[in-house]
Amino acid sequence: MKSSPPQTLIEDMERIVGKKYVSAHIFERIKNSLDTFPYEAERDSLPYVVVMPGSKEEISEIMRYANGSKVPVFIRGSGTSFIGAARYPVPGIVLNTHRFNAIELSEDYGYFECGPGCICASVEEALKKRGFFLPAAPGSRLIASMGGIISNNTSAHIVDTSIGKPGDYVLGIEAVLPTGEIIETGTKGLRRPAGTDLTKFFVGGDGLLGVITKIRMRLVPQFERACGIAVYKDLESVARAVQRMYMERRPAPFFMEFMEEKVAQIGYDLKGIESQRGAVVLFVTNADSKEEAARKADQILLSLSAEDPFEAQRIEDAVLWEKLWSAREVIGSFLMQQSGNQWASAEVVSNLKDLPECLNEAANFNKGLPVLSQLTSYLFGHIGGLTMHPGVIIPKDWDNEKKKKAIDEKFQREEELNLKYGTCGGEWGQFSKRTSFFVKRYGEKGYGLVKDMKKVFDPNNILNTGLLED
Amino acid sequence: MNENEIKGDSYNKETVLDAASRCRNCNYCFSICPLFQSTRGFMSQTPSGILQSIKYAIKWDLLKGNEKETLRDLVYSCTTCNGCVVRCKAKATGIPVLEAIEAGRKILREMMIGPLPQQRKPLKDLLKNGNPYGEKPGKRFEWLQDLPVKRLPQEQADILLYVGCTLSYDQELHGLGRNLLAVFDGLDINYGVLENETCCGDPALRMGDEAIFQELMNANVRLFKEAGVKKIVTVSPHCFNTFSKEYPVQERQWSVRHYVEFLLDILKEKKAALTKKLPYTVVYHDACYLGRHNQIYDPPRELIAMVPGIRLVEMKMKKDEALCCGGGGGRMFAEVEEEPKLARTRINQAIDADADVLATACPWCYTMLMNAAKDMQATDKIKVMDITGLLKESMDTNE
Ligand SMILES: Cc1cc2nc3c(=O)[nH]c(=O)nc-3n(C[C@H](O)[C@H](O)[C@H](O)COP(=O)(O)OP(=O)(O)OC[C@H]3O[C@@H](n4cnc5c(N)ncnc54)[C@H](O)[C@@H]3O)c2cc1C
Ligand code: SF4
Ligand code: SF4
Repeated sequence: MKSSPPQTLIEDMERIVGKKYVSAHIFERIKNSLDTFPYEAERDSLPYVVVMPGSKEEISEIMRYANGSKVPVFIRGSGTSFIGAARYPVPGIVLNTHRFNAIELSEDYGYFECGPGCICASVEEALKKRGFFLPAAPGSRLIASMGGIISNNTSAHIVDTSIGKPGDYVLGIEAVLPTGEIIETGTKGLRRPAGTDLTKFFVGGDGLLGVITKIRMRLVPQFERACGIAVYKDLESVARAVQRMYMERRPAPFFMEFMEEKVAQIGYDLKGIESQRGAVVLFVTNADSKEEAARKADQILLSLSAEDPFEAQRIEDAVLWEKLWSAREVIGSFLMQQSGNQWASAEVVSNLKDLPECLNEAANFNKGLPVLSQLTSYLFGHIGGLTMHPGVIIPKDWDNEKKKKAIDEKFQREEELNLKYGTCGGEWGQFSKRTSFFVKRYGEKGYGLVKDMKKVFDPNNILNTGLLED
Repeated sequence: MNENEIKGDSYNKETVLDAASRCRNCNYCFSICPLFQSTRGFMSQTPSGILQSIKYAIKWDLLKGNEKETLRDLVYSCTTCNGCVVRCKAKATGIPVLEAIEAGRKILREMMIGPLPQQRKPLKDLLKNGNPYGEKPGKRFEWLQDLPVKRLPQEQADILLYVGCTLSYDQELHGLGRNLLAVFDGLDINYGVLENETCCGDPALRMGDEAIFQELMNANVRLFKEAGVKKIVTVSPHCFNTFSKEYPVQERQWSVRHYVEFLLDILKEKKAALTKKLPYTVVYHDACYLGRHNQIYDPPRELIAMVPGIRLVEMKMKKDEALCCGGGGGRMFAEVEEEPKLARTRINQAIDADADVLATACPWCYTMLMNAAKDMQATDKIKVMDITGLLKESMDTNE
């Protein structure tokens, strides 16, 4: 849907949110049309205007206006989406949530409430000060907004089987519907509603059905941790060890990351770690006491040790652990810096039974793809969550079309693998570049239901237009 | 190419386009940028926002269009604090964001679009008077006329104390200057000032005017040579950075240090000079051009900690994460959107750290923070002092 905006769009926006909070200059519009994809902004699809409302009432008025004039509205947290949800296909009004940045801890109620514009790291910090923690740990924590996290419902690096997803902690939300009505969902109690709970339409709702304006989440006390490592000769052993961990009913790890040998070696060299070469698994357990966390780690190690690792042990030296963990964290940036180019990765998710095969395919992610096979592929991921992030470094000198092709191939291969293993992305959201996957995975009927639901909430397809294909 | 040469428009454009083509728009850099934190939060008011703006201005031929002044305001609002560079290196693609932003300023200056209107006069004054404050060159050292300070090249000294324009012309800072001289005298340092000292050129460079910078640099290099200068100690981190990084290596027949490192080394030998106990809880504000630009994080802290009685505490944002005071990058000479004022936020952070003294090591930081404390009527809660003030007080047995 490409609309012509009303002549008075900018003045109308200024009337609603105040002049100060409207920006229509081309540079603001350009930056709001970019995301992590390595290709260029397109002049034809630049937003008309960026607005920064300060209240739910203002959002409501914007939505009513947009419906009246049939102008799309795109919700923007921090624009770090990995699936193209922050690269808008048509012009419209960008609704930036930055001003919704209040956070309030109500220990007497057992929950906290925050605005969707709060940055993940600030919420984490506010909670930590009072002995609580945020059940989401994305690599983008320093910048991703809570609105983005909750509308994707991503626990990110945290293993879902350990503590679930952020949505499991969301007691309720407040949202403005695409047609402008304001609703509240859920509860102020500590039990999430049984049966129909409107919260579910918004948490993990991909921003299709409304603008989240407030998030209420249960307070979760901080816990103690224990850490461990296992190093294997190959990826197959890694996969078998993780399968064992689940099948032998060990406690689920809180974090469980892995790196293929070449990736681990880069990280180790960077951090000056002398260690056995091999594919590396790093994990963290959580519990109320240090002893219990250590006991859980030992339990996990029983399974990890059964697949003939070069080493498998708990790490008690905090300095060494910090080095090991950061070796995993710096890989992407190191590869980008070394080559001067940009990292692009996929999210391949296995089922438990086929993990060895899936891991092997993820390691050969780019094989046979016309553009991506020209590049070296690197593999790491959240193996405890059966999630792999095979990635490549896209040369900056490639022309725009080739870069686009590379990104398309990445989603195409991700789609093939996730279809083959009967899974789906567990982190980054479901639509935009992934819409074709959704259709294939859940059928025209499944996709049709989503579209129908969207129509009920958003009859004029105003909100985040283009996330679903028309 | 000689480092000293002006590199020109195509070089600057290439610098921008290369950096922007490597920027991933991951937006990590937002999280440290004082500009982002002190504006309404529009995405163009961020490091990668500015970078992409200049890139598309070049690519889409917007430099001549009716939004060129908007671009100018964005590009010149950066404080040049270097936070984005540090963050991008630690977390992302490690691109020289600031170098690209400054290349953007040079492009805009070349096209007469930059600097900001309020910066035009200071820039002219730099060329005309050798300082950005519109003051006569002869007035530079009026403040130390009654003091027995050696003048180079007429007199000889081991150390050239390069005072800089701000301390010389801002009356509010003369006390700071006197403290510094008292400390130097107290430690029997054989120093002098340059009779015809002229601006180091930092403001010209930060405002994108390489030609004026070159003039000032050449004047200084000539003066240093005439006076046979071997060792320079600067009061301002900006002068320190300019001499050590922007002046061509082949012209440098001298070494340069900022006073914190210089005094730290001396006081390590003469610790007994610090006699008086000071019952202060002190927090140090990292100056961007000492810290993030030159990795001098510990020496100022060590220097403060040497003073007997002082308890050194830290603010939440410190060292490479420190919040900029907002005074760098030519912003001392212009009103730029700031809400809340960075310096006010910094004062609050110092108060939150339970400090009673906020110590600085940069005349601009001192001015920004002092003015903020006064505006906030917070001077009874927090006293802004340059480190030299603490040293002087501890050395001063007569008080
Ligand atoms: C360097 C980097 C590392 C990353 N690491 C991870 C990771 O480890 N795990 C992970 O899962 N993701 C990761 N991501 C992806 C991204 O950060 C997450 O998807 C995050 O949730 C997006 O948040 P955002 O604020 O940037 O949202 P945006 O990109 O602005 O928006 C994402 C989607 O959420 C919608 N949305 C935003 N706010 C609201 C709201 N208030 N109401 C309704 N809908 C809303 C938007 O319309 C859009 O559809 C990473 C990204 C980067 C750049
Ligand atoms: S951190 Fe670096 S790569 Fe990321 S947006 Fe900022 S400048 Fe670009
Ligand atoms: S140098 Fe500082 S103020 Fe300028 S863009 Fe970078 S972080 Fe922001």
